[in-house]
Amino acid sequence: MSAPRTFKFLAAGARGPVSGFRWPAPGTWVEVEGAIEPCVRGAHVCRVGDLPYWLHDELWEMELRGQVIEADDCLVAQSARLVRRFEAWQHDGARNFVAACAEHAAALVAEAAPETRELAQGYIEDARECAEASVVAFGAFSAAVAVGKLAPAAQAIQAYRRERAWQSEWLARCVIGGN
Amino acid sequence: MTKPFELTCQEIVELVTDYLEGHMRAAQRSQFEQHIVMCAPCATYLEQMRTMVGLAATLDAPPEVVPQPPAAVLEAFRRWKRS
Amino acid sequence: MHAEDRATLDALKRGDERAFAHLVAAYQAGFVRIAYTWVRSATAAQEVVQDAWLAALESIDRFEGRSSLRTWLYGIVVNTARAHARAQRRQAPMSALVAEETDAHEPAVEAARFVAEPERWSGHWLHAPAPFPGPDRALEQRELRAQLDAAISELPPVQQQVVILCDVQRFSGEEACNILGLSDTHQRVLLHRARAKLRAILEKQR
Repeated sequence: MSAPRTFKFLAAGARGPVSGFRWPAPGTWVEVEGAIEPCVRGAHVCRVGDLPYWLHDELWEMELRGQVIEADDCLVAQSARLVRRFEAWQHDGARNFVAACAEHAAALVAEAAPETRELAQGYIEDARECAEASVVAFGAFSAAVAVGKLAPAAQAIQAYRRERAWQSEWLARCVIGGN
Repeated sequence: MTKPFELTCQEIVELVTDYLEGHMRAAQRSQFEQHIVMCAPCATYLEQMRTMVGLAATLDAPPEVVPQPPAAVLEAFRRWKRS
Repeated sequence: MHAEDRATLDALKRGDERAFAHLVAAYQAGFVRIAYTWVRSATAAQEVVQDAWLAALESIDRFEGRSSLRTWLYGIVVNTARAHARAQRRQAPMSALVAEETDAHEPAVEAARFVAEPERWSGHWLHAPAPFPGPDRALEQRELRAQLDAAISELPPVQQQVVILCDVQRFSGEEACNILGLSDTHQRVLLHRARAKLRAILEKQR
């Protein structure tokens, strides 16, 4: 059985969006020195379900080796390398994605009772504006928050996460594909 | 005040020091990074802090040419090594 | 004891004057900078540093290596500077300064830079920061560095001391607490406020 596929969103030029680290060309391993620890040290990569939380300019497939730790919203590896970039994301994948997120959330909001709809409506407008301006990460976030606001407060986070899971599935189907 | 699944920019700027010094727990750190990924102004703020702290570390580099210590200090050293 | 400290002490005990000259030169700028935060004059700071070296030589045989040599030396400079400042009646007690510099709420960035309540975007940037020059803009970075140097000397005293030890000298928070006699909580707040002030000063000058 092969290992599950892993991915990473990077800023333009294959740079880490938070650290600024410049990843070497596909094929070259990046080795992390010292014990890996989630959010502190190690190569942080996404499983499919993690992707919507880390949206950025470039989407890459990753390969890992050595120790791997499972964290809440990512995997942390001792060693990783870029495999290939998903050109579909560069071209219109990202734009189509945020548009799909906005519309999916809007449809759910439209079906909800008027009282619950009101809170979510503002976030839907934001999501739609982001979709038009191709502001991808914030648009997808706003769409998921909108859906979260349809649920009673105690279930808001689960509703938000379920919408994020829908967003992951869209990415798996439309950008990553089966190969 | 803080909603569980979002941090505002105003909250982010108060958290930057804890983030850079490694004082955050994993969950909050993840939340912080997710905001940075989404928010260009906050990413800039973080980068400003990193640049500034990096520059601070270069301020008191030792001189290339090593001068003689002040006379009183050198004299004290000579007295010490003789004792 | 760290191997490097061991090697340094061995060289000094052999009477190696070059090694001693290197040690003094390596620490000069840093010692003067921190001494200045107490005595507020370049001449007095030089005097403090000289006295500190004399004191260090007198007690170096008792240095056990429980802390690093660097931490130990900085401790001597800080104590010497405090003694000079007390003699000149130059400064309020540490506890009063710490209280003053950590009390009252002081946001890292003034509220006017963010969208105010009750707008939907409340808490988000209204006037976003612009990037500082990166290493690829060497001339501008040199200017920024000089501005930072000056800005540090404009900070309130304890914030200045914390940022000097933590950011200029790269001591850990814990080491800085030990050298200055601060609690961990105070050190964190002071570092946070110092950096926020410095960033704001640098930003205004662009």
